[in-house]
Amino acid sequence: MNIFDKFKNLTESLKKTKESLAQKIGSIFTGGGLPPDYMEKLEEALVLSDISFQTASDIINSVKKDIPGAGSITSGEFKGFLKREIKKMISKEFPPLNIDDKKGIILIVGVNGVGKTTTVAKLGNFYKNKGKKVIVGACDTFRAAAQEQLAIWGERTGIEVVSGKENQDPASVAHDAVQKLKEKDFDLLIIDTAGRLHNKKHLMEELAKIKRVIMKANSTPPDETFIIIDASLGQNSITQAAQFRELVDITGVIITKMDGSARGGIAIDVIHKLGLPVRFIGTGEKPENISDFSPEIFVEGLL
Amino acid sequence: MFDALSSKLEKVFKNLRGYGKLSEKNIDDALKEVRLSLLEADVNYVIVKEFIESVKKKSIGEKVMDSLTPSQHIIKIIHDELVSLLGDHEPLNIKTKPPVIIMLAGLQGSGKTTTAGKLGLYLRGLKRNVYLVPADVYRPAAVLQLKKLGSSINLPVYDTPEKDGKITQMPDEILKSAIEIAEKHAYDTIVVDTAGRLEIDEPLMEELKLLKVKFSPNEILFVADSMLGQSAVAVARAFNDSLDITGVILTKVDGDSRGGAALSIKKTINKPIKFMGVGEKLSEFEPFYGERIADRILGMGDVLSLIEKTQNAVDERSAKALEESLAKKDFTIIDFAEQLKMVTKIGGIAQIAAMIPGFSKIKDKFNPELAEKEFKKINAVINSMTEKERKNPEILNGSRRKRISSGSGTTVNDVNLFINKFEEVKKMMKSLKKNKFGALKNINNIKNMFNQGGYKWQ
Repeated sequence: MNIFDKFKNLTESLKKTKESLAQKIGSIFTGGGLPPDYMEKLEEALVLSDISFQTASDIINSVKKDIPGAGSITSGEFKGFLKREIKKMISKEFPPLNIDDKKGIILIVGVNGVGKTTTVAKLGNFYKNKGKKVIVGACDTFRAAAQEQLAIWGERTGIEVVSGKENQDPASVAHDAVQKLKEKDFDLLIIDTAGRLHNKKHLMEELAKIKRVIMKANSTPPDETFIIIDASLGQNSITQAAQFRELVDITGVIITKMDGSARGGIAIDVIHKLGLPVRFIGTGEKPENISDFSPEIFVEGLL
Repeated sequence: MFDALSSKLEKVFKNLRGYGKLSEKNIDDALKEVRLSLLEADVNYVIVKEFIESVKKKSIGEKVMDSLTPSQHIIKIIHDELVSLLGDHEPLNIKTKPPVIIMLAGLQGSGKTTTAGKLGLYLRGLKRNVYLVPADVYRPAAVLQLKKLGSSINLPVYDTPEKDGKITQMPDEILKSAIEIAEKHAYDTIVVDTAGRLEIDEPLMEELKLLKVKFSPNEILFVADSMLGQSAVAVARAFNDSLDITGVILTKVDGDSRGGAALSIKKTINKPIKFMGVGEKLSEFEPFYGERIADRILGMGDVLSLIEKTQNAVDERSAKALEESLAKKDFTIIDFAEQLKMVTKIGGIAQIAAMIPGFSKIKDKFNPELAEKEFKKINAVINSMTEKERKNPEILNGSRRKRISSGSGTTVNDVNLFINKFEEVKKMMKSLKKNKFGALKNINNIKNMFNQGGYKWQ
């Protein structure tokens, strides 16, 4: 598989972003050169892409340093500076994913409605296609029919699902799923959990318990804990990730719904402000609509 | 929601109040801060710009600068601008020939299915005969989800046919036969749940347009996540352009998002926000009042909603009986327990506290979750008392207190603390016998009690 296939979903989903952000940047130059109020216009373009005000200011300040004191600058050069600065900002060194060559466990967490269950199905399918024997633990025992939703996905993708009953303690489902991973011929367990708002203490405690039970059953914590962030949501996503992180040691982020009109600027904040890696991007409703994340391709797509 | 925004703005205003007379620079500085808080709250960039310009124009006039309390004046201007952004309350348009059709539409994950259940329950409270119709034929188990929600609140749900895990009707066929059934059973209000879709997904948007053309729903409500970011404007505009929606329902308002989407959407499409979802339970659903939310954002509290909630939760007769018995005789632990019950019915301490003016200022000092815990403890203590003890608390001697503590799983110290607190409240009650608000003031007493000595109780 060549690099362009691998990131095809990402590139495709960023096309709209590219058009509108590129247009905005282009429109700064309508009068010919760089106008005196370009910073405000750049700020507008960046903030409208769901980049936080603070991060937008950081970007503007570093771009400002690149711009030569005298002489004119073209829109192309300006875009080049911008790309370089954003790329620098999000090209942090992160360790590779920690799920190879062993029986791995991925825990999926997030607030309501961001697309956890769909992402679990896609992620399962993704690893299945890479030759792993995947099993899924359906630990959302709260939302009506969440169990059935994952069971249907399981049938479609040919992946076994360990389910519980409605209102059963989700930690006990996690326990059963871990046992199955250990005893049977599986390589990877992906655990879906119920959506919970990060400011609901009792629900967050329930999540901490799920994690403790996994640790106890497997004698190690989950290898990866991914928080799902919905690209159409705003700056609250950063608060969400920070709060979940306090409790369950988030190791990475998956950004969903990148195929909508949201511009996904939140990815920059995730990396810049939280120092967390973005691991995958969700780009549609089909099982194969998931893509690896690459800072280079993201920035190329963004601008 | 709105908490973070309100505490930020309160800081700005506090600074502003420090000045007797305002210079243009004072106003500029304050508005810079307001602008930043709004941007951080995800209010759309363009809308923030207009908002600030409009406030500035109204603030830098002679009238404001010359007034004795210029900062109050500016706060009023901001308040009014917020109200105009959030809009007036508009009730549902359901007073027409039945069956009334209410269709929900929105992005994936905005909370449509849950909202369908909540709206159904709310409408039943208005004495409507509700019929829920699951027309999300795409998301796996979405139909089953609504069926389960419906049965949990005893509302009839259209039995969308399935074969081998696939829905065998299209949304327009579903709605057509659901209407026939509704007419047969005299269901007067149909709530239609539809699949989540991206506003740029043309085939799926066509599907909704078809429903609109064929059945002309009385209400098409756009269900929007209150955490939406800058794209809220584009999304709302697209849904409105294709469906000419009649209103908006904001969901997940119980999160800590600053609610910028709410401020952006109404302004963009000029359609009223009609309801908001405020919790995981199906009963946690309220009509939306822009004025009250503006009050909340500016830290002025929302006493009106609190009064309404009280009126809904507290049945008038029992409140009256309580008041009458208080007028005649001494306040007993039985009366106290009665008050506790009311607080629970209204939605617990946390919800009440959020509506109290100035609450965001003391938020750090008052922990509703801790109070909620104490609440349970007090209930346990009261439940472990005999009827005689509740009526005559003065007989609670050492051995009785010991028995109560072991019966309620608390310590003797907890029981002592409760009795002391009870005596305090009793004193307060004596001085409050002639109050007008009845139940509401009683509730404030209880809240005060938690506020004053709350955390000593651990």
